[in-house]
Amino acid sequence: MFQRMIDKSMAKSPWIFHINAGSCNGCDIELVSVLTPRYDAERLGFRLTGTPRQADIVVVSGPVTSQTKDRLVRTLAQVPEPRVVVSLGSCPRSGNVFKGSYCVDGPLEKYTHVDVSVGGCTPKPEAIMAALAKASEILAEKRKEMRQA
Amino acid sequence: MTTLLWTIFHVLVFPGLLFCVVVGLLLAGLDRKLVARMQNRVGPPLLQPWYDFLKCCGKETIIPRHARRGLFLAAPVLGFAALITAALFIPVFSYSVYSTSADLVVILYLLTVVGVSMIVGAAASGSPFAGVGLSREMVAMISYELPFVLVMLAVGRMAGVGTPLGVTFSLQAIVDWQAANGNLLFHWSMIPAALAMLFVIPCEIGMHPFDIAEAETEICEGTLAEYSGPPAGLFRLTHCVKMYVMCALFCVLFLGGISTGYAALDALVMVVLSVVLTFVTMSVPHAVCARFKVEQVFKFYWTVVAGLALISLILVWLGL
Amino acid sequence: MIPYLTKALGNLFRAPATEKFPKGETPKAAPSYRGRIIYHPESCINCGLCMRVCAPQCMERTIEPLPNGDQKITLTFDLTSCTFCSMCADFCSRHSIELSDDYMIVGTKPEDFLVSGTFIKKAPPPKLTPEQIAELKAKAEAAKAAKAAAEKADG
Repeated sequence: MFQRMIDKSMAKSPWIFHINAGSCNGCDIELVSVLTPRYDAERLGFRLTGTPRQADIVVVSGPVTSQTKDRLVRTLAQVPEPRVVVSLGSCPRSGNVFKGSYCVDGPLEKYTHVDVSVGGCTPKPEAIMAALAKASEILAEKRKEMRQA
Repeated sequence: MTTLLWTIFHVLVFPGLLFCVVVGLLLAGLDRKLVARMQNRVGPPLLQPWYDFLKCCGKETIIPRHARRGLFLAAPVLGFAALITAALFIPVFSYSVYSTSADLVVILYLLTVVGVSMIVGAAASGSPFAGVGLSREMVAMISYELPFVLVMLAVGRMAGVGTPLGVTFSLQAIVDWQAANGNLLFHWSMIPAALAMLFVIPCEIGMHPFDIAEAETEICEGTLAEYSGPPAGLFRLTHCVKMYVMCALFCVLFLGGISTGYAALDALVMVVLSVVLTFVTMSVPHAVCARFKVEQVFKFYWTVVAGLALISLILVWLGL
Repeated sequence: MIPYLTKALGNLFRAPATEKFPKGETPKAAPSYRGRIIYHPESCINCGLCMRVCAPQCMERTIEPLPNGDQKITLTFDLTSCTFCSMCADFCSRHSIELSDDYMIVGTKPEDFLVSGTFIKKAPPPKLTPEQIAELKAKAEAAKAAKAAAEKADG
């Protein structure tokens, strides 16, 4: 029963950790605006944590520059299972206008499995909310899989 | 046999584990909801801290390479156990279980153990962020301990005038004195001490304007930087229960005389008063203030708050 | 600090400013918002101007020859690569590209972000050989002569 309660609360309290992998700061601002009174992601249980150790959803923005690559891989390795990786905006998936640059080591999928992606440059906060809601569903599913395995 | 059963009941259910956890989680949920409403938001559901705790239980526990494994895992358990033990000594108005001759001192030490366990856990995790966090936690402890002790001395002197020692540290005696002579909050010489205690509560708990040790935007959650999974959940639960314990301590110290005579009703009154105190001391400053700097907290507590407590102590010692 | 306090306490008795978004319907985007690309292949003429002006090079064109000489042309827009600058739509002389106000570009698979369209470009009529031309010319002459003969017979 306790395990089932944990399963249920998994989707209700996903904590977000945000990694800026060389983003232009546009997506970062939109991610913070999701926590403002108008959108208020906290009513769905979301909370920005300061440490990857307590994160459930890792939000990555930016085209993964060669300077941030090592830090990104290290930070992602510190997130405990079950975890969900969300790519924010066009950059992490493709490199966007920075693609082909000498200092871009993207896309993000070379380094980790991306569960949910949001397109847009930058995405609207509503789209980010929808993506995070989807990510929390995937989180609950992953937890169930982990328990059964 | 019945005494053993009663002991188990006391420790696990009524003034102990279950009651503390339920009320603590309720207070934490209410605090988050109220802060959200004051910031014009909808806010998380009331059971959010409970969901958070359960979720932490379902996560993987990572022990960092540089951590001392045993100490790292024992620290949250130690802190939580110390806090529940402290809660046992606090009478729910007239319903007191383990009140002895000097339980105020015991509570003071046990609350320090809670803070120290956090410091020990942070030190054992071997992270530089936790190192910064623990040094800040120490500063916070030094800041609030002085006014806290002064408040306790003032209350003890006020309630213990007739006793041979002149001072009492028994919460039971303080409650009895208030039942006979009226609540301490309404004695004018004790009002500065009550104000000082109101300021001590949020810093002791580490609530927002005074959360210098866990500044998640500056130093990656500070002392909790390396904790993940159930130990992190236990630290969060300790934080929630501490809200109830500090509110209950304030109720007993300054409003101890309003007992109804029934334990269940007393508990209800205690919960209601704790909710009011949570709103006044934690939610409003959280919604209104930005985080203090480390030296600002220290200066504020050693001048303003300690000054208030000292005024009360001097007035009481002069017999006013 | 006093104004903040009165504002905070006043907010307790006011309805929150939060939108009920994930539950209710999706709010509409602002006018002239540039969202998901809509491509109309039926009016496209395969001029390739959109691919030239696209800064992140998000389009991919495949040209597949068909046995009867026609070309099957597929233009694919990768929305995870797009900056939604609307340059392609502005430069399209046939208005085959449009940026809609649908901003819900959320998905779990790469296929969720692809917008593609296919059209068949008809092959031009085959070139004629000199013999064929001569034959056609002869045919036309014969027709003319027959016509003249018919007129003569009438007149």
